[in-house]
Amino acid sequence: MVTRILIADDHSVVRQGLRMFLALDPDLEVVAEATDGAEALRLAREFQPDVVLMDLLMPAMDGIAATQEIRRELPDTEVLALTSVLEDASVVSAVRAGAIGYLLKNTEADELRRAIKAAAAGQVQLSPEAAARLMREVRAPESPETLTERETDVLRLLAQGKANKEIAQLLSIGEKTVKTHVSNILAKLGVQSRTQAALYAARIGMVTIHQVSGGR
Amino acid sequence: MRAYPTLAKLSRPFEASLDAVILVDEDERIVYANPAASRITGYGPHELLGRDAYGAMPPHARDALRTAIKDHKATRKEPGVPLRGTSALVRPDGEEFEIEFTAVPLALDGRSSLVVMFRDVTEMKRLAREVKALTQIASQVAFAGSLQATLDKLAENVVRATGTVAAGVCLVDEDSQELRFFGRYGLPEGPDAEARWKEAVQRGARMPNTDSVREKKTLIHFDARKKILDDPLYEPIHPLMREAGWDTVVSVPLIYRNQAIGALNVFYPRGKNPSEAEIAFLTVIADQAAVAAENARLFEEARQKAVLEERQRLARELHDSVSQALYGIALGARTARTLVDRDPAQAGEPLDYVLSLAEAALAEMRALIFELRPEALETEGLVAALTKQMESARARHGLEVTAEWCDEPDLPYEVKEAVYRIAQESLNNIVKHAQARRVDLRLSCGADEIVLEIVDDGVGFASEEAFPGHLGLRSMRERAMRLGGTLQVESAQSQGTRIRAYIPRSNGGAR
Repeated sequence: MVTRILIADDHSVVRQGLRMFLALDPDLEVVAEATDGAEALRLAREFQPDVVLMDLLMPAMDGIAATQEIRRELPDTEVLALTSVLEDASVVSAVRAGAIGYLLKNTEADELRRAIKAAAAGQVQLSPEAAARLMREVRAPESPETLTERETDVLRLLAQGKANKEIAQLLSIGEKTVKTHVSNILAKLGVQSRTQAALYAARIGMVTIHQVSGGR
Repeated sequence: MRAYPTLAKLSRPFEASLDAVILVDEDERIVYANPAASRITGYGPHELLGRDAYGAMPPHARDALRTAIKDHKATRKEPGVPLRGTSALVRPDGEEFEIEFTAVPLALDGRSSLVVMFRDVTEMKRLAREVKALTQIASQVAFAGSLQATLDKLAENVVRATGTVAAGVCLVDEDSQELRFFGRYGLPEGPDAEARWKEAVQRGARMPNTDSVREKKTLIHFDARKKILDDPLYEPIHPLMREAGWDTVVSVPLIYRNQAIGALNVFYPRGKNPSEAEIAFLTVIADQAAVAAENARLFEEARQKAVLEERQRLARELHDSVSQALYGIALGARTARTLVDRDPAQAGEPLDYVLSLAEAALAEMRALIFELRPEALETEGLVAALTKQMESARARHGLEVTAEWCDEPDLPYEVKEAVYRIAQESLNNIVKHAQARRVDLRLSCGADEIVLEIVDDGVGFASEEAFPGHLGLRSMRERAMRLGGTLQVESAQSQGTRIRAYIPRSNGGAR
């Protein structure tokens, strides 16, 4: 299955480079390019991509605001933050806004391809340092609703960095059912992304922080 | 003492005088003294009568006055010509004070006599000195130079005005919360004095002004020097104290917004103690010192903020330009690397992309490095600087840029800088807002003025809506105006924008 991607970056050189590089992989398809957050939101609505590669510092609605809107309107579209400097504040804000993960603009281009596919599969993936920091800084949901037993199982596996497909196999249920469980979990916990749900699971001791970042 | 029949009649008007009036006979005895004379000198009326007229004077003043009167009488044969001058008297308690006098030789009842009128001018003199000191301090404080120089000068003025031996201003160090001397006059200074004080404080000694800062109160430490010398805690500073010419210290807290930010310390010599009026004066001075310290702090804060903002701007520039280009290069090179194995014929496109990005990044770096070296505008010239800006805009944003420069003009640095910044700001605006494809730059150098013109074919804006704040036009215009120039902006929706800055060669028109 081809993963459909929207690139949102105000730097034309980056958009061009990404398009060129991602075109090498037949499983990836860049369906649209946006130059600012507002355009990213508009194009996301139009193309409904699987993954948005989102630069955080952009004019006319920054990447964080755009992430929040996209996650709210299009829960099936995952957002991967793409940032050139590890700016603590914006990375934390991006995750809080619902980004499933973030990547640095560095030379590990193959990692980018892997991360896009993992995001499309609904796999939470954080570096150990990022997981530790986000645990501290991303606010825990206050008095979340109680999860069902099945939802708890799904949350545990999700927090261990499992993709929807794997969760479906392990629990002998359909992949669609997993997705439904996940959106119920997010709604009950009052969070925007699987990443936040995984951090919650780590915080309440359901999984260890190493398991959350074990996906990498 | 012989009687003066006419004295009673003569003296009546003097009884109500605020100035002292005495009558001295030819034997230099006081034969009459009005009530003011008692009040001013501190001697009762009967203590004055019949007394040696020079008896209440310090020896140096006595001799000088006696000589002056003798000379006066010798040169002025006719009586009634007054002699005016200043002298000094000593009160019964030993306090010396300054007087201003008028002495008139008279022939009274056939005998040669002298009427002397005088007043205490200590207070007047003190006030005059204080006003002078305050004026000088106020002008120093208004000047935003080094804080230490300002406070050194302030301490010197205090010593001059009060007749004390030394003064110093301590400020609370923001980091350590310790008091440190910042300005001084007549006090030992240098690393040795500082090290000794530090050692004493480490042993548990306290600088005399610690309490006045803590309590926000003016404190007078009588015999402070002796107490310090008697206290072994202060041993490290004993050598400094043995040479000191003072005994008593007055510490006045420096209050700013109800916070004690330091203290003014004034050191009084043996036998001299601060009067209430002097304390009031020192309080005013302490306020001035507080203002000076606060001014200096704000000034430094503003300077650091400017440096920080400039750094953030450059970091942002690097982020927007070079770091994005390098990421593009990495992606392009990775793509090319894969294609070399898979389909070498396809590798050309990503390699061209890498090359163009490398070129753009180099132009960016040159422009940025140029900005980090402000002197480059002077050494390499305005035209070179503008060319770098233009190349960077061309490489980075794919703008089609044409330029027409005059020869490097001979201009003061601030004019070159203004022109350069205006061009830079214009290009920034074009890149950010104009969505232009083409930009034409022109620099013409006339005999009287420099004209910079920037024309783009972008979306423009309705220029009659004054200056939209976010376009940075305001700061461009201010730059031009500071140098006595003007900035013209012509634009209309979808019509592009034309900006012309006119800067006079000499900034005679600057305000």
